[in-house]
Amino acid sequence: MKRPRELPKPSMFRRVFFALWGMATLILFVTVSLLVVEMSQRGQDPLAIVSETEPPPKPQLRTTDEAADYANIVLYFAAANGHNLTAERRSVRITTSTAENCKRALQELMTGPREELTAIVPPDTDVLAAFLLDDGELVINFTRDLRVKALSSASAEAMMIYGIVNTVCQPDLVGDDGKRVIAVRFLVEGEGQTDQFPAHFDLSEPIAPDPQWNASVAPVRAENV
Amino acid sequence: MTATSSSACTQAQGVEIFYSAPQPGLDAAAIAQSLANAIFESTGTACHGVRQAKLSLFRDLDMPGVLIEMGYLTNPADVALLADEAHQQRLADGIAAGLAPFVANAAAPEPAS
Repeated sequence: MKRPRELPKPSMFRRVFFALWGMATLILFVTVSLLVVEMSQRGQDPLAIVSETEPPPKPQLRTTDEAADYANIVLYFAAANGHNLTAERRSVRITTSTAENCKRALQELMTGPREELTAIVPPDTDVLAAFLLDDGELVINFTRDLRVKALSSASAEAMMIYGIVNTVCQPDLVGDDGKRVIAVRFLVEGEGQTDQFPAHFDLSEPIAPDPQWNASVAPVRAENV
Repeated sequence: MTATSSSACTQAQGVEIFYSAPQPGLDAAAIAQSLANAIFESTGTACHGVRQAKLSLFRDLDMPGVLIEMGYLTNPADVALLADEAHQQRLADGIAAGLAPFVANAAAPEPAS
């Protein structure tokens, strides 16, 4: 009668390997169990982590409320009579950065009014960059169209300058960084005021907002008329 | 100083006056208001704004500064008026009348103390 073949005895290396593998598996099992128990106690669904159907979360800019990513801001355009600035409300997507919000407001301003108003920025003008300094000075670097195509009168310059300044200085553009624009320094392709531009206004210093251009100023009449 | 104006809005018309920041002595705002009233009396043209403005021509001025924009070259009606010699004379008369009280005050001798 033939004797059954004896299985070869495992080597010392294999015994150690299986022992370590068994211990690692045991530790992993205990760790996962503890994790599941902990998540269950916190009311979280352990399976949600591995769910592939759930869309990736959207980046949250200001708050968890989706609608709060848009601000209802004011853009200042020239009134139909050309003598003062008139506000047009527009919804603009805002970010955590005040400087970026100002840039977006300027882009909207440069697209022109939707109502019966007049654009204040010369056509084709664009913003090359906008930097907000710590003291609240917003430095805006425009393309040369601002200088070349701007109308050369004090009234037109006032509409352009204060339309821009009063727009970017509004508190609704303050981002989560908490910075607020106090005044605006105008640059055209990196250059400040020149002899040619602007023809009337003094832009050698930053310009602070001035509400006198917003209000509708009644025509001045003779006192005895 | 006097000038003509332009605007992207062709409806813009009339006179606009800008004045320098307050300084000791003569009040630029009062001069600008006097000019607006006198120009209206002389020409019938309403002034659509008397405003303080930071203009380059006021920068190094050690006296009150006023800039009058007497009409819009982008408005055909204003162009016709500005080309009319009679209207030009009325504008000049209005400016002279608006400045007269301040010139008289400046020329008057100071009372002896």
